[in-house]
Amino acid sequence: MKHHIYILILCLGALLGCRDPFEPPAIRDFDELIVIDANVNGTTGQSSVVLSISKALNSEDATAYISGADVYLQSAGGAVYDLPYQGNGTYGANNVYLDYGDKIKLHVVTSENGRYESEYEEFIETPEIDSVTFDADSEGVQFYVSTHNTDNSSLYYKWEYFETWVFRSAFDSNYIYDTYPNGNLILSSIRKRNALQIDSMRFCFRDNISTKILLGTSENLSENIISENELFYSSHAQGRFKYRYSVLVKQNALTKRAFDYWSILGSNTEDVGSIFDKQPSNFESNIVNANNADEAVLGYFSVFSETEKRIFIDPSEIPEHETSETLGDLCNPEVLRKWEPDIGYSPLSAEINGRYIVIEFADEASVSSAKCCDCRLTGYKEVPDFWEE
Amino acid sequence: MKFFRHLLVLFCCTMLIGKAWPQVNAEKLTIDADDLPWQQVAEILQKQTSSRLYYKLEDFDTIRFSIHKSNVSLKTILDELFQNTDLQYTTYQDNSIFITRNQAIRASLPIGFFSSGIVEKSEDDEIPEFMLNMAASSTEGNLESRLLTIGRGNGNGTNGEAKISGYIKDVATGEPMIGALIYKENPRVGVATNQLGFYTLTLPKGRHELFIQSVGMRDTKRQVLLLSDGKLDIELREDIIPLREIIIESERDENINSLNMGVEKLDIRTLKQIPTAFGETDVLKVALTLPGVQSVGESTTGLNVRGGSTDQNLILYNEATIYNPSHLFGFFSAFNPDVLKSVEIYKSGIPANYGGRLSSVLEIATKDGNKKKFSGSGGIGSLTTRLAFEAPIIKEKLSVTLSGRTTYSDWLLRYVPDDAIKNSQASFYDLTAHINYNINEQNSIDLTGYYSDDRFKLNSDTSYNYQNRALAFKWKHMLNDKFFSVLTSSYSGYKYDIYSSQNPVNAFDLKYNIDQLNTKLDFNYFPNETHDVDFGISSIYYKVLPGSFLPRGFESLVIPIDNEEEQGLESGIYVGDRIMVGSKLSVYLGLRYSMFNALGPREIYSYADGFPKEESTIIDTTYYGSGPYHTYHGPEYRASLRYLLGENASLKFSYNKMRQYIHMLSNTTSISPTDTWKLSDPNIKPQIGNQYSIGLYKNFRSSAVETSVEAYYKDSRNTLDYKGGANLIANEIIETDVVPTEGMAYGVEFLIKKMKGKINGWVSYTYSRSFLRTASDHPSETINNGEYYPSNFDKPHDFTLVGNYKFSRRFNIGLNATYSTGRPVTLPLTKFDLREAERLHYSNRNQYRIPDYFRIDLSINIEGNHKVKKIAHGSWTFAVYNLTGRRNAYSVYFVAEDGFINGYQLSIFGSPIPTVTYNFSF
Repeated sequence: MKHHIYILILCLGALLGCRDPFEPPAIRDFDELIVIDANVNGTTGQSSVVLSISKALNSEDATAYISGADVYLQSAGGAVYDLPYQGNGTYGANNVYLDYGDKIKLHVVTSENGRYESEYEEFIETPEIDSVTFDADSEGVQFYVSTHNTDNSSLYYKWEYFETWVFRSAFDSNYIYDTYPNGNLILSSIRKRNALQIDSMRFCFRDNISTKILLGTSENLSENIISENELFYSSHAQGRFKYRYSVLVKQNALTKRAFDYWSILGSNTEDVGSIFDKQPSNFESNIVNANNADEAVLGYFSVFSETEKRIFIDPSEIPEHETSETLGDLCNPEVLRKWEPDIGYSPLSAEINGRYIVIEFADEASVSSAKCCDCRLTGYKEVPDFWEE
Repeated sequence: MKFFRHLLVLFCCTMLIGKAWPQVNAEKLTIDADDLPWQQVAEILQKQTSSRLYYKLEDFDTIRFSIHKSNVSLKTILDELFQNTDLQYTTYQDNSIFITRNQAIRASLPIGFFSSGIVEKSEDDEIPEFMLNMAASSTEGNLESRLLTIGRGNGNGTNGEAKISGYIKDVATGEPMIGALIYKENPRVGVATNQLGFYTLTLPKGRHELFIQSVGMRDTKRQVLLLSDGKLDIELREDIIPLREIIIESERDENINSLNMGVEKLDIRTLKQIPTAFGETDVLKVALTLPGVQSVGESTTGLNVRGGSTDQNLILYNEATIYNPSHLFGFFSAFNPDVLKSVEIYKSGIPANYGGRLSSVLEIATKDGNKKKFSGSGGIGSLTTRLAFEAPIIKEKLSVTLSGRTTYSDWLLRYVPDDAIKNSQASFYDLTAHINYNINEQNSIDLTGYYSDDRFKLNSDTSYNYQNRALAFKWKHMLNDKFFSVLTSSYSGYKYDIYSSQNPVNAFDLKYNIDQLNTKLDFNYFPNETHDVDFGISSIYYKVLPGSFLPRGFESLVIPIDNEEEQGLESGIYVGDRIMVGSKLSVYLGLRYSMFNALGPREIYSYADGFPKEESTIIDTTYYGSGPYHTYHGPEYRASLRYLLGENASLKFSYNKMRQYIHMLSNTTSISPTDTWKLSDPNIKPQIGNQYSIGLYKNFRSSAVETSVEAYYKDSRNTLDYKGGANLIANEIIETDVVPTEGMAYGVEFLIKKMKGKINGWVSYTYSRSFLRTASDHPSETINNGEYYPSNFDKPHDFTLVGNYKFSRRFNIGLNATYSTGRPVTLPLTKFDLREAERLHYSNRNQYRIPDYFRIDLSINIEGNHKVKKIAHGSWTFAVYNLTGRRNAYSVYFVAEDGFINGYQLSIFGSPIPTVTYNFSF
């Protein structure tokens, strides 16, 4: 909605308003802050805590992880679960089975003797997802989620989604261009690919996972119902809905505290850019430094149960739309001459640059990039376990 | 007297013909008189001379003359005749001889009365009555130079004082000029006209030169001879752009002499010269060019006056409060320029008759309406169209003004090649109706109605609609020359209605409404020139529906939230006196005592002492029945002082204490349509502010150039800021989401202004700071650990140039340049991975700034031909807003895109915006 206000205003501003990239003035004086991304699924027992160090805004470095810490969970009842180090800053276990209503607390003691503790978090039950529905238009598909609960034990919800779809290479590469040395010469040959090989390069799977924080609440409704809450919008780009598409939606019920944390984190980075923006603000984590309450601790300790729902979409369910089957302009094939007899020179060998031959003519060959011809370079062949044809 | 009238007519005729008179010094006269009355003596002399003798027969009543002379000059005869009498004479241009009793005529006659030259000088400052009632002439110059007698001469001569009173009006429309100044110099004595355009000035009897000034009108002056109490009505002309300006050389000007400081008055002609984004004159955008007035960005009409927040401005439209002064997200102000007369903004030195807001008073006045003939005006611009009519219903007495304005943005949106926009709507209109009835010289009634409506719908989803409504009644009554009263009754309302019905389950209807009824009675008592007393009472009744959030349609499951209505009564009583203490010092002392009663019925939550106000710390709920349940009250001191430093300079101080009982709730940096107003209650205390200011004013080049330096320091408390993630919409327990803050602001404003001549305009530079600090001890109620942090509108450096160059009567160019420091923002400091996406950790509030702001606008006005008697006048305005096309950042923000953080700056106008507007009047 806000985004629309912004667009509208730009239009009224004689279509001249604009946004430009903004590099903040070098903010060098920031403290490197500890990041604790802690998640406990009390149903499956899977729990993981990733410890890392925050980065400068313009940093492209790999995340610096913290190893050598002592990480454990402690339930209100006194049970202790150790989370041994598993590499890449991750501390985990898979035996943290909880009962609804259990309260549990996170302890992190770093090798530098920083002591971090969370508040007690309650393990609450997540209701089943009633349905994942969608609405398709010429640009893409809008997904919605619906759920309900018979009581008000969970009024706040968070979702994640995992998309998987079948896509086809832009072109079949029917020929192989080979080069091989022969003495001081490099010889080349063009030969036909076999059908099996062409087939294996034609259809693949591709995945995409949600990065946005997706939240919803029935707080202001008289019943605990989430009705067709807007979840996400996927455009037809990349041929998502051309063959077969599936999405898995995962749902967590949240406490009010967690909901507030995620919604502020989200609004700080996602729900911005209109002229009526709210002030960004930091919302305190449920984890604090036990020795220094003033230290800002990033991240959140989430204890959750999860329900999920998967749907499949066939192209027949999507109305007619225009989608380029190719990967945009990148797949525009180029026609190269195979041989220039007058100069004794092969433009093909000089200019093919690793591209694949799509089709061959007497003097010419049409080439396109490998990615456009071999789906395995951008996707994968193995049929996922959940896949239903 | 009859004789004199003849004489004078003759005199005038000869003057006008400009006939040359023979040299009289060469004339030789002979006279033989024995005990003759003056009449006969005069006849004898008159026969022999080409000079004219002017006299009053009464002066010679009992005197008889004996004289025997031959072949002597007239001078010799007169000298001898008047020896040992109290008669004196003055010759003028060798051909006119004025004979008077007791005093000689002051020879230095008004400029332009005679062609030039002075024969004899006299120490005396008086002129006899016979020069009065001159044949009327239509030119201003003659009016200015002609001597007018006030009252009748009697035996008392010229001792003592007398009163001049009368009305100052606009010659074209008959509109009374309110606040026009009439004064004399050496020593300076002057007054301003009251709400009826009436003034009373007490002066020593005798001859005076009176100067008259009013904003937007050409300065003028009158020569008067004050004999006894009497009337003098003055009509002022509009200050139409003359090629060669006649500068009335008044010694000192309003800005130097008045007690006001931090006050700017702009008339519609000044407003019209300043280019705006969409080519339409905009009061609020012009206010933004004044030193000390800022906003957070381009598309907002929220004014931040001297470091105050946008809710601290009392915006009065013909005395009725306007809550949301903007149209179309702030691109337009809600006032139709065609009916505006002037706008006056008080930044400091706010007199005791105003109350209720901390920072400023913005008084917008509409025209009274033409009482002489039917007239109208209008304009067609790139986004709006407007029309106004002024019609005299009873000539010279009753006029009606009607105006309307609307936009065709809706129509434009349909042509935007974007589905989201095509399905959007945005429109507004506003209407003003004004009746002005001058019942008689003592009574005048004004009735103003105002209605503005904005609606927009974004991508056929949520619909927004908001409205301002106002009705004001004003009765000005003059009890006597010294006592004046104004009774004002007004109603103001603001409401919004937002609904969405796309998803039937979540379909909602969100409404907000505030109504206020205001009655006040103001008196002005003017016992003498040293005192000017104002006193009065006022009362405002508020009724607020703080927000209802209701299901829309049968399928909706939205829980109805219907917040209890709030009511309150804000009352004030005040007295203020402008006192002249000697010729240099003038002081204003004012006291306002204001009181706010929160009225039931209402439920109020109590929070545990020593704990932050949160839902969990509610310990009690008290239900109050009808009537007052909580009262705040306190004095508001107002004081100003002016000390003249020589002829052209003055030094001023002022102190204000203000109290504000109504608060705007807004979590966005700019004014948005969902902002609401909340009354004080036991949990939300009134805002209280103090302002100290000092100013130095100096005029140069006969007041053609005005300069000033003003410095101020302000503090405030109980202003509201918001906790992170505060929900302000239909929130029943708003006190748990707001944090009271203390404010501190200071600054220096430099202004050079030239309002006369071919080149006019002003240049200002302001250095100012504005800080806030949370007052609570609880971490959840503190921002930036309780330290001072810059407010959203803390823009230390601000430079503005408003210039206008008149090439000719028909062609002028306006230029507007603005530079200011970028406003503070909260920036992300560091990024981190959480659940496989990059997230941001922000700095403390407002620790960084967006890039500096710079903009130049240019406008060219071309008037149609300048015949005054034309049926309709047309003018074209070609303007380019943001001439350099600079992409000024409105905001910067950081967004997660595919799991990565990208920073953007948003500019509202990223390139030059040309507009064409056609204005007409008839």
